[in-house]
Amino acid sequence: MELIKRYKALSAVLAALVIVGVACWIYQLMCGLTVTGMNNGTSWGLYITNFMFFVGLSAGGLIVASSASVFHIAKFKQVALPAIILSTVCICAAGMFVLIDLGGIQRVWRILTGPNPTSPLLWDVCVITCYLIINICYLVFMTKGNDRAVSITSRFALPCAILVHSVTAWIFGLEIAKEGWYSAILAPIFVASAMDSGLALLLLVLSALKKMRVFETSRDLMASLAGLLATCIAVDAFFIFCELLTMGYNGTHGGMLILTELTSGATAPFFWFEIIGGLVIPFCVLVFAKNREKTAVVNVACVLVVLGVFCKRIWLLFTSFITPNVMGAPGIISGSSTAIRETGTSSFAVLSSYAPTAFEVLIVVGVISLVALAFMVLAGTLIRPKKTAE
Amino acid sequence: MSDSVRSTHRISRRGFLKATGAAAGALGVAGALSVISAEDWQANAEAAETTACTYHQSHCGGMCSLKCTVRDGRMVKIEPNPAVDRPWRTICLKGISEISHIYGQGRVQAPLKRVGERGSGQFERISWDQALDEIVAHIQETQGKYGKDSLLVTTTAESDFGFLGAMLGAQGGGLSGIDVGIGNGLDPATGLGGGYAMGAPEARDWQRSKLVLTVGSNYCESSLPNAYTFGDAKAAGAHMVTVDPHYSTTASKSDEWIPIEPGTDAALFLGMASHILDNHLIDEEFLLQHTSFPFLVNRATGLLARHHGAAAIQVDEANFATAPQAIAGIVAGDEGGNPAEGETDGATPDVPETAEQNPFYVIDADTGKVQRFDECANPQLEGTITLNGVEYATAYSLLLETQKPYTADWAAQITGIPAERIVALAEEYAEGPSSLALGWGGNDKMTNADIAGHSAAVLAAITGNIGKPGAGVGVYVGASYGGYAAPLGGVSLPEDWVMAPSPVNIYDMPFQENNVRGAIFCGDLVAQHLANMNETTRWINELDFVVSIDPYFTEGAKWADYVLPCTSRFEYDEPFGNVSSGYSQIVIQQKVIDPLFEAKTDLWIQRELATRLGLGEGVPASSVERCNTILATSAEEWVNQLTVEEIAQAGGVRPVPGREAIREVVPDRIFPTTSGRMEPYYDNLAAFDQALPQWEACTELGDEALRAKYPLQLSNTRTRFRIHNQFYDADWLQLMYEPLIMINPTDMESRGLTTGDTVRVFNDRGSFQVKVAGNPAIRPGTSRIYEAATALYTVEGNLQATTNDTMIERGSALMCGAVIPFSDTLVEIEKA
Amino acid sequence: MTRLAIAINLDRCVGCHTCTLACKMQNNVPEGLLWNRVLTENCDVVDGAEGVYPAVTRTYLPVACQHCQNAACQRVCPTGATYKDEKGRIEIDYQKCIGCRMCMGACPYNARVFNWEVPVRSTGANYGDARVPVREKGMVEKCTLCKERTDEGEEPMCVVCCPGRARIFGDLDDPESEISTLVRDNHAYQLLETMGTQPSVRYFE
Repeated sequence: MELIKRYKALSAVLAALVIVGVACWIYQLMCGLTVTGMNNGTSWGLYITNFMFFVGLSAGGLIVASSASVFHIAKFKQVALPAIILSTVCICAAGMFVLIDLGGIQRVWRILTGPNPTSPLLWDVCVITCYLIINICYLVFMTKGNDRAVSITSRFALPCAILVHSVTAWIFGLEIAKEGWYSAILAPIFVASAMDSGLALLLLVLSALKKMRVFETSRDLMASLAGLLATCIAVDAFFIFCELLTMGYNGTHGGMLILTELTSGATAPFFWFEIIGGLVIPFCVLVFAKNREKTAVVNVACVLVVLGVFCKRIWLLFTSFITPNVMGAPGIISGSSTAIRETGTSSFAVLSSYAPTAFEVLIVVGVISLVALAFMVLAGTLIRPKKTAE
Repeated sequence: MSDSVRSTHRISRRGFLKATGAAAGALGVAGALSVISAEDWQANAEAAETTACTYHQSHCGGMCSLKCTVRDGRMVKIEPNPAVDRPWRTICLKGISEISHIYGQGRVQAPLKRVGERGSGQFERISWDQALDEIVAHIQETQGKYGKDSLLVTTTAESDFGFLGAMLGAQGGGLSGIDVGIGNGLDPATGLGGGYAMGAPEARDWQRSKLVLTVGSNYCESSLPNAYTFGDAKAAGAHMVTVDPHYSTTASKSDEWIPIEPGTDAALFLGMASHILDNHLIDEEFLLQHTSFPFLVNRATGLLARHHGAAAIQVDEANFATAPQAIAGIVAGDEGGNPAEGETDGATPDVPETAEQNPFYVIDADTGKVQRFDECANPQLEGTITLNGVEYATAYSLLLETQKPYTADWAAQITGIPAERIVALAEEYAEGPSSLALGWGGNDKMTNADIAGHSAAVLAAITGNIGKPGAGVGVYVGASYGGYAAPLGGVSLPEDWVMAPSPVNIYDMPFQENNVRGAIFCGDLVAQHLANMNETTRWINELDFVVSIDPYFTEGAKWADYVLPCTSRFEYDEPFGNVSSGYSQIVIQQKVIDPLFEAKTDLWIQRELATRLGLGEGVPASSVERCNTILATSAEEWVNQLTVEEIAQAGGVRPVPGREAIREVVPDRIFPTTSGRMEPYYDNLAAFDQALPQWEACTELGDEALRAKYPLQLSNTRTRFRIHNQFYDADWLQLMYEPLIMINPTDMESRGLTTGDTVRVFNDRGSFQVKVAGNPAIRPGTSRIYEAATALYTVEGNLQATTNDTMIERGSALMCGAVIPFSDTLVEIEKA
Repeated sequence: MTRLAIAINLDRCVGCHTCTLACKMQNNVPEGLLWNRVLTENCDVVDGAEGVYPAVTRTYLPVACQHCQNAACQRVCPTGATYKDEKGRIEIDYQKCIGCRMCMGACPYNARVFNWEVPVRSTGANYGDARVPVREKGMVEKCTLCKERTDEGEEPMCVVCCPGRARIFGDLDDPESEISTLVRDNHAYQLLETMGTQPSVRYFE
């Protein structure tokens, strides 16, 4: 609770945001998901974007921590604890986003009583649960200083981390209906994105903790993590390039529709931000060892990477919703009864669109505030003793 | 429309929504906190259901018999009546939309009295007693001051106010000016169709056609409930060709679409006719025996030569085969003679003389002499003869002369259809059997519509494409119009209940001196029926009082002083509402639900008015009694033995016996005309040079100077989503269509418009605003909007503000008077 | 086996949307949702056309649940709420639907709609067939092939009401049935065949 006490104002703001978010969520439970910007055409929105995003963010931490044990990279071990805390809170956020997105959360127990083994969402539920358990075990073992247990856990943690991203990718990548999702490379892309966004976030958090004097990370380790980040960015960029090339090479109707939207359509700002701001610039910055030494530069690059990956989640998710496979007027009916009271025809959209509502944004902000608070609490209680030990 | 009306007639809907909102809140909380309870789950079950049959709109000719399910006092389901055999079992989206429409925002819920300016739409609720008392006072005052006929009572197809005008001795508005454009030109030739071009057989006959040529009709939309007949014909191998300026639904369902310049249907027919004549593709036998084309015409006067009268033939014994002194009217087997003969000779008879009384003449091909048409087995088709120095020619010879300028090349220039296509179409049509399907929504609404109808008559006559299986000409739209009519009787009115004549027709009332001081409109007349709305409302504002009666708040009601709510087809206060003739069957209106809101049945309103005015017992005391009277007074035994209860027991319909056979028209080729033949030579139009159809461009579309200013033709056509102004307030249909003007993408581009923009459509008469959409189905240089887009549902203003109300000069000489040329309208469109 | 299906003769479809409303009524489909839509294919306006005047074409395409034999929606449903029944229909057990909308993303035909809000009905009350279960907010719904009717041997409401008589209902597994004959004789095709979903709904001209 040290951190909460130290940063009362911040904590209070976060707590207030959590309360607002919870209130909005209750309102959403009462009125239904109609309070969001989602509709029958674009049936997933900001929640699922954030679900993907946070699953990814959670990765960096666990992969760094577990590879420390698995591959005996000793210096990574130093940051294992904050990394695992970060990983844990992020995966909780991801889980919350899925639950918030459910229209029938009161029936969620049906997953347990009648699971459908072919559903990637079921796999995801299982894998995320395992992942969360591993994270918690990891935390417990680490705080207890049980190195052997940590080592064993890490052997499960690494594949599980890879799997959790893959399964999340498969929720989308196995959907033959969506041209922009249906790709074997989606899982590798997700893993790569998870690595770079997760690492970037870890670096940001480490540097913040350093600034707060909660946890000291050596300049050298930071630089080496930044180097790893550069590699991950390159891999991510390579995978994305593979996907775009395959999509565009043959000039197929469906492929071109997606590419056109990405490059000059509704999702173009996100696409170009990710390509330039999220991949090219950070890579060009971090590829030079000198730059990796400069905390400020690294931090800027990390912010860009995190934002870039968030933009990628956006373009990846939404581009495929825009043009229905079977297209024509009047189009897809929105799902809202408000339009019918005005002019009925505006209930339809030939091309689907989406914009989050204030409710949706507030709920997302609430969740993020909650995990930030959780991180502060966990970091404050778990890291401090270790630091004093040092 | 002002808020006050909306709030008045929208109360119920708001109420519903409020209730739903409350339920939503409650369920939301429940949903958030617990699993949904079993009761919520099963909510749609349990309550006892009843079913009843009624019939739907007659205005589209559908008259679909519908089975309606009622649960908890609410109509919850509408299906095609399963008691009807499959071919006649019909429904369309409009019928289904009633499930919400009758409860909807458009209903007038209580009698309303105007509180603002006329047209402002500000009303207050009043009681039925107050409404009826005040209306009765107005009627008495107006009729007392200006005479009975100072009251105008108009009814529309859906209303059931047959007693009202007669009991008040009011005038009915005379000629309507609607749907009579083509019929004016076509029907005098066949004696069929009543001026509405309804002389075609039923559409099932298309299955037996080789060519079904649709011109100016969008059958697959405007005759939607039996659109299957179109598909059946196509499947049976008929070549479906549709001529339309726009790529209409029917055009897209046809084997071929031939785009045409709007308002030039007549030119196409004339061009086809020329090719048929020039190449002798005619049906000579039909022309000789069944048309007036062999008849002699006085070249100087243009009149058909008759035995006596103004057009009496010059008797030149040398050239006469018929004994000149032979008294007309005495023919073999008819010894009785004609008692009127002596008196009518030389004078204009009150009753048109029959061809027996006053015959036509032909040239006998065997002798070369003039002969009575009915005594000549072998008349000459072509020929001229001079009798006492007066030149006569057969109508056919005159046709050959008048057709000379109308070559296929000429027609190609006018219509924009390639000459080769016109030629090929002519040849295919002539080969037959061919059906020529005309409509009310296209060229019918233009100043030259009668010429198009007349040319179609010529075309059918010269090819014999009438009166045989697979051949016919006219409007095929509307199953109940085309099928077998049920021979129902009727309720007789007290003798003193007679409507007054209308010396001035409704469309001339805004412009010509007339005695109308007060009006009762059963259905919307103001916005729906008349063009150039600014003139219409100027006239309405001059009236002393105006009453509107309709289940729904129409735009015209905004100009009424009183608005009375009547019931829809689904509500009644007795077990049975009415009996009518549907699609080759008797259909009945059973009470489905009780009258909604404060609505009253049409019969109740008429009865109340009669009582309050002390007009006696002419309105039937009970609708059940009326139903049974209608049945019992039928001339046919299969009907007059029936009771409405029996029909209800049998499922709500009674088929016309023998309806399995496709209904044909004049199968014996004896036409209900003066000569018993098809008479496409109109000597009454000789003064207008239209005895035979002569091309004339549309008045407004042909005005090049105006076209430079207003370059787009505005066609207001029919649609599956509405019946004229009806159903604009049906929210289930609003889902599919809101008033929208469509123009070609090139016209969009040149005006800098994009689909979804709000545009101002305007000309010198007025303007309105709607959304615009680019659609390559629309002919460049034209715009298309569906009929009756009223200010209640457009962005602003009424479509009728722009429509053309110019009535042609020869209108008074036409069968049904001039047609209102709604689509002979030029406009410009700009971004609003 | 039984494989209930609808074949649609596109040549006879006049694009009137009667099936849309018949379905909405029969199945108590609330405002803002539809189980069955008629698209003017590849156009941005109803009754639009493809091409340049006068070289234009138009296809009216009724689209509802295709009742795929290899159903993408069924495969991804985490709770088994979506299932294929013994008559070959794809159905939803609403009680099991958690509203995750996996199926909506998976359906290539956009046939599924979701109760984003507490269902609103313009008449303020439930309408349609009393046998049809009422859905709540948070549930996905779609064409059931009029389960309640077809279970009783009645035809689906869209088939009953179609003014163009473009719809034929029957059993594809019965080679003698009208639908099987039509499908065979007219080389009926499936929507998005290459996706391999094997729809039971067939189209022909």
